Amino acid sequence: MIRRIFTRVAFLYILTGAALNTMAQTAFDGFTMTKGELCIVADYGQSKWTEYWEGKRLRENLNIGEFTSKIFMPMLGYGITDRISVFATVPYIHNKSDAGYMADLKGWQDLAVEAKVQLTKNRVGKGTLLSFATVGFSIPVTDYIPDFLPYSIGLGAKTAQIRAIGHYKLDKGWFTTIQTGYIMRGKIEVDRETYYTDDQYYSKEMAIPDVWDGSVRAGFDNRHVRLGAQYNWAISTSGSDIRRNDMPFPGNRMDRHSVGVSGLWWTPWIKGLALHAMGDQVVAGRNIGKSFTWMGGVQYVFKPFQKKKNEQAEN
Amino acid sequence: MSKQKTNNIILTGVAIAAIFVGCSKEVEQRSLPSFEPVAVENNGGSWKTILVGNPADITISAPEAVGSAAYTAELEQIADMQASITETDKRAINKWKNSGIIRWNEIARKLVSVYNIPPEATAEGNYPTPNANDPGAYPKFPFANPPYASRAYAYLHVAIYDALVTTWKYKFQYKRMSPAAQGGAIKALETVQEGLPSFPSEDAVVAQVSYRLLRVMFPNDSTMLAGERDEQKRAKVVSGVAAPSDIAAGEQIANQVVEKVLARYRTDGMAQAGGNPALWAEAKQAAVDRGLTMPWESLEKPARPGMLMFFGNVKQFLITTSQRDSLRPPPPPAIGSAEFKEALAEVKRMSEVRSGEVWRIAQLWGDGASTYTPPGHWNEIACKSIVANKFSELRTARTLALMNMAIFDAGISCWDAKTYYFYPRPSQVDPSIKTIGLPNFPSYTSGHSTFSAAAATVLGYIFPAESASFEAMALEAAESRIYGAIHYRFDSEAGTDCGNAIGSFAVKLGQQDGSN
Repeated sequence: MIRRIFTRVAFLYILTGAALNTMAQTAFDGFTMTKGELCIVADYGQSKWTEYWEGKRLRENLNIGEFTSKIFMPMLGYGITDRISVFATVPYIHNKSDAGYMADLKGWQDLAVEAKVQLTKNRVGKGTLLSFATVGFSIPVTDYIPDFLPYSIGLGAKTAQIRAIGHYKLDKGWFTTIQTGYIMRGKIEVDRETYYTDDQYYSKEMAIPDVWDGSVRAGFDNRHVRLGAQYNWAISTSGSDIRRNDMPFPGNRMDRHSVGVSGLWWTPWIKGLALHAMGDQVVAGRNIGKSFTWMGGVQYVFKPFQKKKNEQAEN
Repeated sequence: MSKQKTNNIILTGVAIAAIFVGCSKEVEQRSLPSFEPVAVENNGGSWKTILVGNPADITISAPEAVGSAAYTAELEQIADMQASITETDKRAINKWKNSGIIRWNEIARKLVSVYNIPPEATAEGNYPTPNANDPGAYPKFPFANPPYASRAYAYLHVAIYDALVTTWKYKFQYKRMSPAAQGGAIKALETVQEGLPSFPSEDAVVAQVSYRLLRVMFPNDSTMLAGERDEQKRAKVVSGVAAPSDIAAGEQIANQVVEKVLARYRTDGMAQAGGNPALWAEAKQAAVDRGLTMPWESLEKPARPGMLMFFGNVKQFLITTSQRDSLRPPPPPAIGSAEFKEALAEVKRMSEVRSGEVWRIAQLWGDGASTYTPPGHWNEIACKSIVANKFSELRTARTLALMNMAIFDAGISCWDAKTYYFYPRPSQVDPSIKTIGLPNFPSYTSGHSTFSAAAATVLGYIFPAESASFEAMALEAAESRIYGAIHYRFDSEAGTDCGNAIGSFAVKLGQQDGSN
């Protein structure tokens, strides 16, 4: 049923461009799809920063000025069964800054695919408690340049992740979601053959840190709107700091803490068509930009391959 | 679908995903293979030195005879060390068993990478200068930019070479072989080169020279450097290659050579290479008076003084100041001329290519901040060929001395041209040209091209079978700066010509040094 679908709140790593997180709160929210439902999403957004953390030190850089990342993100979701759905996205990103003479970079980034499985569903008090697990991977779809941060549109790593989600929703519409995941990221190959980070490496390979991330969200959901506020974190489990006045590097320890709000509105004009928007402010970090991100877009949910059966509210 | 089945699918998915990504964070690094030198170089003591003059002027005390009480006591000491050898000793022996010079070259390269970051501007918009007398304060001393690095590599390897020529003189004067070759209880825990006397120890010479020079160049790291030196010396004693008195004689040579080399190092004009605002303005005005219509300006914010604008006045090894002037490249095209416009258009075209071979080559040879610099890149290339050709330690020293003198002199001549012509970078003329990272000094001529041509010329002389490949690499390095949109083609071509000319001076020196 149409109301039991997901919302779209994309948030990006701005210095990292980790595509998987563009799907955060999509595949990773507490809402499900029913069998045969197809969801098409198109989003556009921008992320900007003028300050970044060099290691743990927040600074500006007049030779970067204001950094802007523009993102276009199409996404598909499909309900394989009432309990299992899959999601796929490939963002197009353009990173540039308004000062200095560094080349800007743009292109299609990583294909990210997630499968989401509902594990449990129980009545608890005056609401429903749901739990989910997700499994996913991502892979670059172009040979974009990972070793030219902060302008690189991504880190070029293949990734795989697992995630657990808990979601509780009162019958009156108030809900809360907590989710956390672990993202494994593979080594990448770069054009340089020698580089220094915490040591001198004679290699074209760079190790990319794994990430532990998650979010806590609370909000209200009914047949017309869904509103939420949340806190997100993403913490690298290894990696080096940007040295003073040095350039960033794909193997940096990038940590990110942000707070955001999001909203979804089901249009009364076309059944299954919704508009959504989000804003996200990084509040603490390490080796990333202190960015503000907004995104907005449309989503359309329908059952293309089967006749609609009678709908039944379950949430 | 049952819960069990679902769980199985998830677990399988995780396993497949982990394999797909690859779990290891271990970066696979290239390293040089082990090798045993072929030649003993028994005439090495007669090779021509660079700075120290006659090796006989460097004196050491004669060794105790094999069979003397003192030497026998040394052998007993080594036998005890071998009897109680530790895992640390074994690792050290393995680490230092190949060329010690190459190890120290790697240490120098790493230090350059550590210190090769331009200082950050202060809140007031000034750029602080590293202070050798307070090296630990920000910005730490030194800023190991390409000129600084070229000079460090050159002095290090000139000193090692001169000290080893002296060492070879005494090796074949006294002909005392290594403890392991004495036929006693001492085992050779690494291969001992047959026919090469161990008094004085070439390893001790290399360790002590490297330690003493690098600690002047990188004073914050003297503890680490002393540790490396001590480790190398001890490894050679434990492995049976050198007796403590072999080591001590090596230190005597090293210390005397270092004094002579440091005397030149401290008075070669580097202290004045930074210049001051009045001198910068004067140099700029001189270029304008010669007809330049758009003098170079720093495009950094806040504007940063050009990097070592008077490095071109530092004393060279291979050529005199008047030779430098006569080798100075001809003037670049007038700004706005047809030739200039064509070159600028090429840079603009290249600046828009951000993929494929153009980008790869620009990055491969970038060697910018936080790297061992182009001179370091050529040192790595040289070491690879040295190992492949199984050079003796003495011939390794000669190779790196000749190449690094050429690179250093090439850098000086290049910087001389940069300040003399004061020519703007492409992005200054056309701010729409974006780059791989714009260097903060004038454009004409290209440093990468000059360094690389000089290095390739010397390496091509020493390793003739690879000369075409060195030349191709040097041309690729020169080309890479156009690909990176920071140099005009005429910058690279003039730099290559000048580098080749300076390299040929090193070749001439090599042809006449008695090593052939």
